[in-house]
Amino acid sequence: MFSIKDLTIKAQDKELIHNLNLTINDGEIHVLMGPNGTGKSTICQTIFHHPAYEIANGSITYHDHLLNDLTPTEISRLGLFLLNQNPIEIEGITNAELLRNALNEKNDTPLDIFKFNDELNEVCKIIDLPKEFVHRDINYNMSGGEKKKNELLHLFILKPSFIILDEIDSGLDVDALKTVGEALKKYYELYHPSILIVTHHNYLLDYFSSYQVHILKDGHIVQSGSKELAKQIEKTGFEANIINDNKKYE
Amino acid sequence: MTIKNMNKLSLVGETSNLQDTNAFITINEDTTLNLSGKLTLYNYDTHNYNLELNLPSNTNCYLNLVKILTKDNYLNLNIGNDNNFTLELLIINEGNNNFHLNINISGDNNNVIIKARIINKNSKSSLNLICDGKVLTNTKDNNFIEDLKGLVTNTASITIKPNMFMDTNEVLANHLVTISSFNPDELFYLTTLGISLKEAQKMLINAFIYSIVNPIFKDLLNEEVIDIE
Repeated sequence: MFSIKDLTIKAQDKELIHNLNLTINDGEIHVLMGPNGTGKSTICQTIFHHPAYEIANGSITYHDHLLNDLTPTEISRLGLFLLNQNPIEIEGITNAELLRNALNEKNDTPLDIFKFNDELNEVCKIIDLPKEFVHRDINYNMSGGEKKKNELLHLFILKPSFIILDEIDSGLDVDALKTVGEALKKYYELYHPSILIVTHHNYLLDYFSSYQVHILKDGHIVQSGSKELAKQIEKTGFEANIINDNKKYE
Repeated sequence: MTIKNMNKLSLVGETSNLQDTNAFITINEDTTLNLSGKLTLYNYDTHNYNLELNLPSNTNCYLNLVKILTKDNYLNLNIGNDNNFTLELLIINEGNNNFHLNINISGDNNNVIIKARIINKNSKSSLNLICDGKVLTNTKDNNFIEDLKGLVTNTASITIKPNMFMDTNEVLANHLVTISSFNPDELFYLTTLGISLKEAQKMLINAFIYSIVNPIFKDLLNEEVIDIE
């Protein structure tokens, strides 16, 4: 189980997230939606302890491990994985080198390079990525769609049990969106991970049959519901939904 | 390709003439090289020999030079007319040293690109790189680029002085200097994928070095790179 309790996040003494609570059981899919600038990406980055953000209060746990005091490396090795909205480009380090080193450091036994290469080829087919990308520098000189597929390559090789998708659907054309959606669905069917999806749209959600939706506003969750809530928001927008919901309690 | 199966050229004596050569060169004392024709040269210098390169005219030369710097050292380039010259220089510095790079363009119609990447081997080291580029009076149609970068991996210091002295208006010149430590976003990205901080730093050092050094140097450089703190 993944759990966020009473989480307050600060950056440069400014409070960005206040008293956030969220529980995701193993295998569940949760969707975080909300207007721009409400702190959705901040939460994703803070789970991995991005140096720009400070946990001022509260806790983040995964399978009874308190993540507050762990390094990004330790958090990753517990099985968490962050798919970035804008994946960084790193010139001079290839995908193969990155994944080889990550697996070698994580596992006690040396990597079987033949099996590793076979698996890379297999994954490239699933995500419709040319095999040459394995030997290209991390996200370097790649288009937006290629970068997202490149991140999926890392996902399938590292096989995390908890995935955070930070607006992975932004900037994708229809075909790339389909490939990414189908690849994520396939990954879910194969490994049944927990997933936290941050998105503004329903395109990616259509690939999953069941999920819970949370609306983030002013630094905390103001509304939760089923997939119908996501559909409603796409039709009428955040403001209408949040206002209507508040009226129920007046 | 590896150094083993490359053409190797051992230059003996203070002055040598090289023409139309593709080779891994070794030198054993301070040397002046007169270059002509089309040349691709590689040099790995652990003895810190001073080097003077003369390109009088019509020479197309690429030089990939690795210096393991342990004392003060200089490299002089004298460029005449109608030359294309690219230097890709890596300095791994150990100790407190000065490296002086002098480029004199005295003729017309040259393309000169100077790229240098600098890293200190340990926290006790400091390097002062002075790059003096001069384009002399009454010259024209020269393109001249200085691109100098230092990666600070520890408490050691790197100083770069990118001087350009233009005595003519008819020149296109550009100079870029960056001295930085590891990019925190790159470190964060790598560590979120399960790479340890130390390994991530090692990978970024390698990326910095091999952005300028041909992979043929890998066997020679391995030990030096592992030792970088």
